[in-house]
Amino acid sequence: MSPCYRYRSGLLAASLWSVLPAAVLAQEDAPIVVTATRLAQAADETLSSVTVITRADIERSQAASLPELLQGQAGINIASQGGDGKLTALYLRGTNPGHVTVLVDGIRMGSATAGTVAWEFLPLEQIERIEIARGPNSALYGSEAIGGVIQIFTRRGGGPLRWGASAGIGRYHTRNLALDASGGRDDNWFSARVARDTTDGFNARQPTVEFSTLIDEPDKDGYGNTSASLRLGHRFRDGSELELHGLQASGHTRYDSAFPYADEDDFVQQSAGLTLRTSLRESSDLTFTLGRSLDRRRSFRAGQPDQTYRFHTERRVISVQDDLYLTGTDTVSAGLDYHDDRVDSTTVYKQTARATGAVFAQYQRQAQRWSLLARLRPLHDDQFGYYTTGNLALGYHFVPQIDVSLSYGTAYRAPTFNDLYYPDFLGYPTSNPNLQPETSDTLELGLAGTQHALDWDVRVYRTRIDQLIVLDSNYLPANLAQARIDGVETSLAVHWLGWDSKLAATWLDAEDSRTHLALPRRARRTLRLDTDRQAGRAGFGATLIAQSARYDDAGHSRRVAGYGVLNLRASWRLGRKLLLQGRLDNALDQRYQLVDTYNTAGRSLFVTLRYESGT
Amino acid sequence: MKRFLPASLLLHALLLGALAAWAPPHPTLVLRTLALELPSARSAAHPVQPATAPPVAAARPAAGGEPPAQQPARYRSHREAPVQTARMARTGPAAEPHPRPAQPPSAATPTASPGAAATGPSQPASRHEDTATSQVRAALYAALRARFVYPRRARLRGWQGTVRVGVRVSAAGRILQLRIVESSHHAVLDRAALDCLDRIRQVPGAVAWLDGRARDIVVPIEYRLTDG
Repeated sequence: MSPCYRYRSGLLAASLWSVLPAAVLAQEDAPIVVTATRLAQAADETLSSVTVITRADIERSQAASLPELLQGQAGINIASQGGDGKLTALYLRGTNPGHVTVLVDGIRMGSATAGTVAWEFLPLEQIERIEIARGPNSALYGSEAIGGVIQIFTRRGGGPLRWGASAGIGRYHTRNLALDASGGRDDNWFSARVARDTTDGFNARQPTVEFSTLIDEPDKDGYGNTSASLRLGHRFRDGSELELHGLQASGHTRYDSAFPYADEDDFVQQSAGLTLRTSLRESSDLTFTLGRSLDRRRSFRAGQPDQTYRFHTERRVISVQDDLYLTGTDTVSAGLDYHDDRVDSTTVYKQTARATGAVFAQYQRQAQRWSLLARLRPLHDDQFGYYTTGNLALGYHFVPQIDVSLSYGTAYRAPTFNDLYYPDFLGYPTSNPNLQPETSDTLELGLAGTQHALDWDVRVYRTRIDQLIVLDSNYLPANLAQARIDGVETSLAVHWLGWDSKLAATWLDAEDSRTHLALPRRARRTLRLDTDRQAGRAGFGATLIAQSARYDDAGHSRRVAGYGVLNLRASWRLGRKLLLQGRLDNALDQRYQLVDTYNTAGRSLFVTLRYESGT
Repeated sequence: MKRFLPASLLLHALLLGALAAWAPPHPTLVLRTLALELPSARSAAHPVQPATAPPVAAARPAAGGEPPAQQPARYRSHREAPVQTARMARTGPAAEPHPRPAQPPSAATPTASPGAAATGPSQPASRHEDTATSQVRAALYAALRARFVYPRRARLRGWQGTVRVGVRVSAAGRILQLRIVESSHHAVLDRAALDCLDRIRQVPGAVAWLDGRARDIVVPIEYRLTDG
């Protein structure tokens, strides 16, 4: 796995000149090549902290799932409950799992009832690019993102017509199969893919007593996911682009719980949208997005029809954004972002719909030395009224390729439907309709640079979350707490002796300001090292992920030990069209836990054969 | 929300309106470059008819012979002719410093017989000029070094492509004219290339190679984005 860290200032990266000998330069056919990295959509990289993971990175890493790919990336802690397809929480910068905004092709994902995104079900095969923008000083859509924004883009296609197929098999009877076709000519592009991933899995949870009930289901907890993605795009003669995109994943997963409660889920994750990019005037880009996302889960237990629960969220999204390029250095953006959530459930919520709308305006200046960003985003929630969030960031570019930035941002997050409107259980209240939104502010100092073959980036920040929602002594959600999160993130990317290596090291101190106890499931220290080498037809690589100990509960009664996991991988090109890949996950067969009492995979080998036409 | 939506729409419209009113006019730099793109302006200053130009062999001065200084803007061979259209640009390879022997006669140069253009006898005569053109090109490239900036908007939108710019360098080494020979299909990239070339007034070190004559050089500029 090698995410691409982007540290260079816009100007610096843009002026990268391919140095050619004069003799070559002098031939007409040798063009002057101006290269630059594609800018992230999620946030401005000179002023905030962004990690980009490209398709090439995903393929090189051979990662089995999205959580595995994201685990240990700068600022990220992932807690999975029992392997592939099991409930997975992502903690970005030590904030709560619900404090991350997740967009798939610009469409907001997630469950309105739980307030989180089902990371475990998003199929890696369909993903082209991932942008992780840390902190609230991220995208225009990020005011609800206390921890940050993660943008996922599905496969784009384009280029010559090609098709491919891959099949893989490994331990726990894990199998996958994928078929794809992509292409495009001139002003059209398309990509269509289907994939099927299944595993028999392993026992998700050790025998445990929870709330005086014994949970003991020593079975294998399997998982199956069938996914498809489609993208069609056309570029009109005037340069406008119209794109249709869709992603769907559906399947089945099994887990462990106490009898007679549900221990299986059927799920659907879907995002579909239409994006139009056009120009009202020559120096402006207008982006219009219309879309819908679905998060559906049906929990049940075989033979217990009264134990069937349905939680469906449907979210409709409209956004309009206009970027006006005033000069080479100044950009002004303004727009509108509206989404409404509708809940359909067997559980009778006191409210089942919510609409949120925001307008935003942003001014950005990127001059030779100074960068400036100012943003204001008034938001209206039909249950909580008006909230305004904003950002201010300043950057300075030193000549020996060092960038310094200072930023301040605020964010806002409305309580979930579960916290607000969950019905009483056996006559006892379980939700609190008087909850107020959580608010946060973050101050961040960044230092980044490029020296020879080394890209480096260090971010130091402090986030304060007010009105943090936690369970009170009666197990009712309440705006009781205040959290203070201090963190340092270091990312290094180096090319040395033929090895491409990326290191992400995160130091985190996230505590509840009342109790001075560390927030649960956040490791104080996290490290991820990816290193890869391509030697002719063969490729080798390894990933090391290590995390220090953390507590599984707010009261620090359940401690989960630190761990280190080593994954090895190799690939071999058999001719032009065939690629054989193999990986050995958890090569040292470490027994460790991400969440207390939940098992993780042991040493496991997985082999994939991939065919691609016309490469 | 019903109350809010019109209000936000109005706010957005006001914002955009204010921005539109506030936006400064395009820099004159760009306007100048645009004016230079106009074929009429170009041909008015330098009446050129490559199609009716004399055959290459006939027009080329003898080896070592001094070119007529009073005709700095005259194209002595189609090899040096400013490429005026995309069609002509594609005939460029026939006029490379090292012509390919198998090159078929180009429709654009009906008067230049294949033998005269590509066989041995004419090559020594052309060597001096080819070297000179290459050297001017090298000097121009050196002057351009690190000046190109990938436009931010193109980096965000993922725009890539190759733009070919025709550059006329005067006998004194000054850049007289710029012209898009072949567009990258992205106006932003075309303009960025022109803007960059437009900032160079003088090609350093080129005078020595120009032999007192103007030259036309096609500069291909490839904008390429890396994904990560």
